[in-house]
Amino acid sequence: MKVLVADDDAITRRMVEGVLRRWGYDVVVAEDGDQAWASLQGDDAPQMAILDWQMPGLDGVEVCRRLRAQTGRPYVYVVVLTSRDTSQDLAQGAEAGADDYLVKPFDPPRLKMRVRAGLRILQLQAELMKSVENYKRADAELEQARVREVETGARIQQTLLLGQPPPGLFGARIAAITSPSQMIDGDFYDFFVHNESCFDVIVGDVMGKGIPGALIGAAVKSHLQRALSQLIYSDRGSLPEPEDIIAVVHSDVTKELIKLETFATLCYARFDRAKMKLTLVDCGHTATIHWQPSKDATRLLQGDNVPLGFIETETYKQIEQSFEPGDLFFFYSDGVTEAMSSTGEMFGVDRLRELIRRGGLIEPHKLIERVRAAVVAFTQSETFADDLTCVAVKMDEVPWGAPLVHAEIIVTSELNQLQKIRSFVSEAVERGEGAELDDEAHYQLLLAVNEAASNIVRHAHGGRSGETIVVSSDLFTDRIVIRLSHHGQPFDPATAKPPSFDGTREGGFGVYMIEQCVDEVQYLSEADGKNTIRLVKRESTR
Amino acid sequence: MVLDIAVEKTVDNIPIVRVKGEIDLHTCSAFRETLRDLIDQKNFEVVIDLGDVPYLDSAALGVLVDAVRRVREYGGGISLVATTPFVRRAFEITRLVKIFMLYDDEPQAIEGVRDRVRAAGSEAEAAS
Repeated sequence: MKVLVADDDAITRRMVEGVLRRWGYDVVVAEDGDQAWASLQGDDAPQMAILDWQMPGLDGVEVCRRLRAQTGRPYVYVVVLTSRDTSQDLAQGAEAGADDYLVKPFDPPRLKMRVRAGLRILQLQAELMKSVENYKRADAELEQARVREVETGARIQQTLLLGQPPPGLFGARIAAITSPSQMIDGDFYDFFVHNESCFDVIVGDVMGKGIPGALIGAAVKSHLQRALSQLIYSDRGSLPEPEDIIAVVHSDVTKELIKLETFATLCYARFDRAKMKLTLVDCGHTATIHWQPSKDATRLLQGDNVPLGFIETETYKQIEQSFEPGDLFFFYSDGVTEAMSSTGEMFGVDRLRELIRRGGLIEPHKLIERVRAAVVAFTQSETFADDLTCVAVKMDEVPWGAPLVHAEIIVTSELNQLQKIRSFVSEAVERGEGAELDDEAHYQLLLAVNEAASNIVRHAHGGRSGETIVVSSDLFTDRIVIRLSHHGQPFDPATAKPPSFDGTREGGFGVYMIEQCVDEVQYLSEADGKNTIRLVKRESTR
Repeated sequence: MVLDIAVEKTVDNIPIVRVKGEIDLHTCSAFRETLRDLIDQKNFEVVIDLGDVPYLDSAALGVLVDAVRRVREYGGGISLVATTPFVRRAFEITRLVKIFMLYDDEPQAIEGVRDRVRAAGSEAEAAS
């Protein structure tokens, strides 16, 4: 080990140097404080320094003080040589950061002991540093693993746990966005489509972020679904009220949430396009913003219920709100309104209302992107302190229109009815009222309807004949809508195998042909057990 | 509604299946039987005339795919006379045009079969 010996007195210096060399140390010498300092600042500097207290230039105590003030360099063990053995001097040396002292004239055995003690301390320190480094490395690896896990969690949440806004709703468009603060979040939303005119939007926020938050969000969502199907089943197929669904979920989860010391705010909104009515259960969630273009005004919809997981005896009540074509409803998490600027100001609900009032006419997905951008600009940060979720539901501007002509026939679940169904569709097309389909579009509609009907006859009633299928046609100015309804088994198009186009398999063309032949196809399961395939063929815009 | 199916053979024994009426899931079983019988009797080149078929659905396409799969094993093929635009459209939508030979009339379809048989024959000769 390298040891610095600094003393302006040549005799002492040589003596110390001599004994240290004899003991096997690598010795560097300095004749004054400045030399000592320079030697300690160089590359491969000594790890131990024996400094005379009184030297020209910097004295030993000052060199020691400077060493201790320095960061980022290895520790130097300092022994001060002094001829003054007063406690005041000792205190001054200790204050400057000296590790030990030796009184002159020194005797070699004492020096040996002090230097050995210093060596032990330096070795212990080196070992300690090494284990700290190992610990840090292990910690970094753990952190990396945790980040990977959270990233996987975030992907799972985005793809499997978050409901996607249903496309092709009738008379309404929905857009949703969530920007988690920790990649995976406790905000959640979901959508249930019940029939053509009725759908539910659920937006929730769990207290707590990260994986536990996301898991609780997912659990609440699955309880909502379970409550919905349980109530539909027990009430012979009629659609349960939102407050009844929440009551079931509340009784299922509140006790557990209290035990977990968490809670969830929730907004359960049912839109009924036929009655132009919104039914809302507000479980302590942020107030829903309702924009009315006819009045150029926004209003806040808020119930007075507490979040799920607060009080076991809470009774959840729904509120109702009528709406008009063109109205927009905006749901959001408090991550939006409670976003903070650098000066500590909150984004606030008024700012959000104004944004929506000014942007209510644009498409919902653009509106939520605008809100997000406004929050980013306000906080001057792309990352959010809290999860940020927005769902916008916009009613179509055109009223929920009645068709120009409506017709329907009732057929039975037999294959010989297929031709009758095709004739019915051809009659509707050939009426010449509303949308005009050319021969090719007519034929495509026939193909789609026929495939849908074949599917229903073959599969919906387990092959039983004599079951009822209702086929209806609605003519609008720009489109023809055909519905095929039955009370058999619903059909999930996702289960259909894709066709093989190389002729290796004969089945599988039906669902594919339907998709190719019409502009819209929906498979709807309604609460009363009615299943409908809805096909829309639009007048060609050529 | 009944599907009319008639089978006739050319002098050189090429079967021509003439179908009249709409082929759908309901009516396709007789059509399937006819084709299977012909193939079982080792007719691996079959001409099917769909000129009088105003409409066919995916079940009918399934019958044709089944037939083509059977004759292909023996190096044969199914030649279709598809004159109505809508029937052609059904094959286009399902991309099945590729696995059938489509003709505008019976003589062309028969000539096509003869060409192929001749080509296969000379290949076999060359090979032997």
